[in-house]
Amino acid sequence: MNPKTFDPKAIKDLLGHSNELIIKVYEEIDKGSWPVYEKLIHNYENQNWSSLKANAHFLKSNFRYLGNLEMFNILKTIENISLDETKRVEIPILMDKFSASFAQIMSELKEYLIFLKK
Amino acid sequence: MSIIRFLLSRISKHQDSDSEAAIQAPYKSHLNVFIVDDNIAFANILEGFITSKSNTKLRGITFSIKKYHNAIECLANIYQRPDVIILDYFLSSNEDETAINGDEVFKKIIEFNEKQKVVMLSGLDESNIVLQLIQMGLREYIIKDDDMFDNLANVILEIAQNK
Repeated sequence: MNPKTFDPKAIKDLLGHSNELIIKVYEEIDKGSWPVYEKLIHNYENQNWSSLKANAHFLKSNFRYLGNLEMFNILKTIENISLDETKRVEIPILMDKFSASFAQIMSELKEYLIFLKK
Repeated sequence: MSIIRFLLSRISKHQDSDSEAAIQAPYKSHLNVFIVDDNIAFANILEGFITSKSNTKLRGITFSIKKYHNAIECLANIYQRPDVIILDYFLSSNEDETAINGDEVFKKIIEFNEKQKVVMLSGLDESNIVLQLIQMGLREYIIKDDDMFDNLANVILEIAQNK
């Protein structure tokens, strides 16, 4: 099993190679990311910029430790510009990029969890 | 001295720590630690990092770790006087309307125990907040960057050495 959209090395470098611990962290990322992603979309559609910033901040950590730096950087940018009216124009493109990959990454994470538990 | 240089000097101080000597003879061989973060996955990562056998800096120290995912849970337990509280700045990222952020939590903690050692973690590198909290007695403020875990290990080691 070779994940394409995230890098387990990011977490193994920190936690060592304890499968039990890695599974625990990945399960929480899987469980915790979806509801916040839904809030992110809702807040974007309703232009709740401070809440959008908070959601991006939360998800940013998860993607950092999934080892997906592209998604991490998208979220970091959304977090940084969401309260800046002059830069907010970039958010739609970033949200499109993020949404286009989110479900795929989460799906791959689920598959990887099954693989780890075998 | 600018705030950035001030912070960098604090970070470099940790990097200079003589961790080898500390591993041999830490002042405290056991630390009680609170981790306060609303992101459960990240709290687990912090716990795993601190207790990991592959974490050579902290080898020789054992830990009792309690994790809290909001300020209220943490504040309800500070009577236990942990050796250190690792506190995330941003505790409202899940849009809990009752959530208060780390700076407010810190103020409440030191109202209870002004000597409580608190290490704050955040991606928010706003110097005015950092300086204000350090002047109020915050033990350390660690920015969530690539060096975060290394800096955190150094701070915990210093606390074990009672520095």
